[in-house]
Amino acid sequence: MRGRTPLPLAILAALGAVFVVLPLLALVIRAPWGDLGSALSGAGASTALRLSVEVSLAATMLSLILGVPLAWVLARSSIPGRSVLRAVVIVPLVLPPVVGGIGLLAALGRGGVVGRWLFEAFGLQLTFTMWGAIAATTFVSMPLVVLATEAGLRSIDPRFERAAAAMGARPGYAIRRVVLPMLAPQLAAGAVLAWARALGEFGATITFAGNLAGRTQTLPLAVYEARVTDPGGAILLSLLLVVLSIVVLVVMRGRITAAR
Amino acid sequence: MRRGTALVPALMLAVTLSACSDTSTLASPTELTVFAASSLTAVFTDEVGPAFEAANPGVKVVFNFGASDSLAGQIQSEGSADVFASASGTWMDAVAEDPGVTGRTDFARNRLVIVTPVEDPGGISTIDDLANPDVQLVLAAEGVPVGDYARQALEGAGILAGAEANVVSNEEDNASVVAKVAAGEADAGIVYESDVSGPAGNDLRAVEIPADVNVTATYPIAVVAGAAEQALAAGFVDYVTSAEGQASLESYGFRPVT
Amino acid sequence: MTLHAAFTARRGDFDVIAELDVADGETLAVLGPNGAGKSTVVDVLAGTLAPSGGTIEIDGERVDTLPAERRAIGVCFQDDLLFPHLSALENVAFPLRARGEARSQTHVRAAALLARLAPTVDPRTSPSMLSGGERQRVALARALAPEPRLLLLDEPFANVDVSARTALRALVREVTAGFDGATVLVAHDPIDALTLADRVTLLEAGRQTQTGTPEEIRAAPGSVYAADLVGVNLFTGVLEPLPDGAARLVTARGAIIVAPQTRLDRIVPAVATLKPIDVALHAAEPEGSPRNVVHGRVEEIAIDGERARIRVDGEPPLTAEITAGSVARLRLTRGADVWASFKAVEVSVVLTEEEAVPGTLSG
Repeated sequence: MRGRTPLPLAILAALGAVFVVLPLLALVIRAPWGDLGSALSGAGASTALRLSVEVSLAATMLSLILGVPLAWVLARSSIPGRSVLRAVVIVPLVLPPVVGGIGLLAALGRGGVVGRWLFEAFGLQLTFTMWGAIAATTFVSMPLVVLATEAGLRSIDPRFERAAAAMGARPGYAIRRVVLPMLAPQLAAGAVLAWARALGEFGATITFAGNLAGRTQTLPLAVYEARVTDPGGAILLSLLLVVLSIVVLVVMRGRITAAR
Repeated sequence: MRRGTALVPALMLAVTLSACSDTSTLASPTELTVFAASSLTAVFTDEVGPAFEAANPGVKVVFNFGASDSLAGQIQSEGSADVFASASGTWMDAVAEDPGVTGRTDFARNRLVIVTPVEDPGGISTIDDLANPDVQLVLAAEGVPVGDYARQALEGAGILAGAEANVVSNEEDNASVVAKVAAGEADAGIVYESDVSGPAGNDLRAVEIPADVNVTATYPIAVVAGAAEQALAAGFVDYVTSAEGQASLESYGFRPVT
Repeated sequence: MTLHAAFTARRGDFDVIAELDVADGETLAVLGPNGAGKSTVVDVLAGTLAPSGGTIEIDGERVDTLPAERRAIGVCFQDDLLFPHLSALENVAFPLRARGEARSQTHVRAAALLARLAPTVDPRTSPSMLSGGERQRVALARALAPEPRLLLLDEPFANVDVSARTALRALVREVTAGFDGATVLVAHDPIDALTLADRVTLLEAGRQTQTGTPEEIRAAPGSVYAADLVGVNLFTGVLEPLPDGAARLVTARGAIIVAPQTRLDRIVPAVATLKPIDVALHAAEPEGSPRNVVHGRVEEIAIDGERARIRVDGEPPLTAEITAGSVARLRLTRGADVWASFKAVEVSVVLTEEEAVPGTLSG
């Protein structure tokens, strides 16, 4: 129900809105719109854009494939140590992304704990590759999927699954036809959040996957590289990122905050 | 309100206040802000800074290290630097144009060196090996002094195209290149001689670049126009070019100007 | 098909011990106060709660070893538990789809069931758009869809508002009458049990205190709860419509005036209940509005603190509940002459014949 907003609340809200909108507005004002054509048509911009889309989508998919079952275990299973597991899974959210990148290097880098074996036995290397960028991005995005999905699972009345069983549905059928559809809004919200985070991912990517145009240089990395040598171009690239984000967020509209 | 809920805002207030407050309100020392290229991190932090502070009681030197191109950009947009020590003349020229510098003088030289991990997974023994197939080479990005110098040297050796094809990552500064190579992630990188002489050198293996293709980086230092501490800044520049300062630089792998 | 179940189950901090025998076509009501363990009984029979011991047999086959989805049961839950993301039709079709039947086939059967049991419901609507009564009708259809051998109804009227309850009760009665399997109905309101069940078992604090037909329990209530139950006045007979829309329920012993929910056009069999608290007692013939006045003799007086239950032998016999003070004021003693009155609208009527349930009843 919508009512009148008390004045102090309205003032604070306005301040909050201004605080967030101002940098975006400043970008628009400072942008060298005359150079728009050359900046965006340059190979660098379109390559970085393509890479950003590919990496963020792949990372979101991976986050869903791994994150949803993880959320299931956290919400529904009775294995011991769940609360510790949950805390660990959420850690990438509070960790500075660069630290996450260093951790990934230590684990999956060519000289890393597991990476060393992958490289020596199979010649597989994640660093300096697009898959490395996907790995780094998944690392920071998956917690968002896990959080949203676990909350969603907890909010579903468990009696629905018992009802489904009483109706003759085997557990697999009940999950597919009852739980997942009821979970859909939360899953979508989690996916959108994860995707948004993936799109803006920088620190872990540059630390673990490196920075090479066409292979690992996503839009945020391109912006970072351009910012000193071509500040105008950096602003235009930044705006490209902003537009891309806004497009998807608008498409998803109220789903992010709607519980059901 | 339950007791616990008052604790959180109180904690937040305390943290914010402590972040804002000057930690040395008692003596209120003068701060000298020095923007310096990353390659100077070790020598300035461990020797030059403390020595200058010792010689000038009441002065605290605050360093901001980074890639020279990045630092130049910061000086131009934010100011706030008293001294700028760059790894290349190009970026000093930029700052000289805007906002301007005084007392510009070259204070050190640095040469390039190829580094590989201690185990040398790439089998690098000469500069030409950098163009070998499947070698994973890490350089600083173009625009970063050491990145430009490296490409210059590679061109001089006639292998720029082959080496560029082997570049797997363009890092933001020499420190990042050192990190990737020292960790064994890349087969080789090109950094400064001064980078190998520091503690990181223990994880690195150095391969010399022939003198005829090697690039010598000349480091200029200057007082930034409009700096808050003009006199102190000039004093810092003097210290760096003094016999003491030069000796420190040499012990960290830098070459003298003359 | 027959159900024979004898089991113990643990729920929270107490045990439920139950033994149930229900024959083909029979409806057994499990009646008890809140917290007695009634839902536990349903959960064990449905298979969603594992008993700590005992067996459940349907037609002689052990089913307690089977998981819930393999038992041939149909369940109608207290909170209907219709899947919110499916339409009414898809809900009803769910049990059929769950066992692998093709969609078109299941939709045809589901549509037929819906048309019969919930004719006012558009099959394509989402359950959130339906009233409580409509939802229970859909839930009932869903329970019946797989042609189960055992029908479990867990307090199906709990969340249905009073005005819709009568019609729903009639529907359930019609359904159970035509159902050739066994039905176990769990109820909190004795009216549900009395109007729908062939036999009743009383469950109090996890133990069955009495099992029998409503008449048997009435004749010899075995516990305080049972005694309270039998206090409900039950009338069985035929309804004769009256010109003003009311009707006369003629029972074996006397007739009463009632106000059925819809207009009747002919004589139909019916069952009616009246709460003792709605019966007023008078020392002399009362004047004024009540449509029903019964002159009789006080058969029994039971005083319990401030309340008193008076059994009056009249045409028909009645139980009234009044205050202890009124007993004194009216100078009631065993054998005393007394007039009992109640309003026609306070009698709850359930028609017991199929065609008598018109589709225009709301809810």
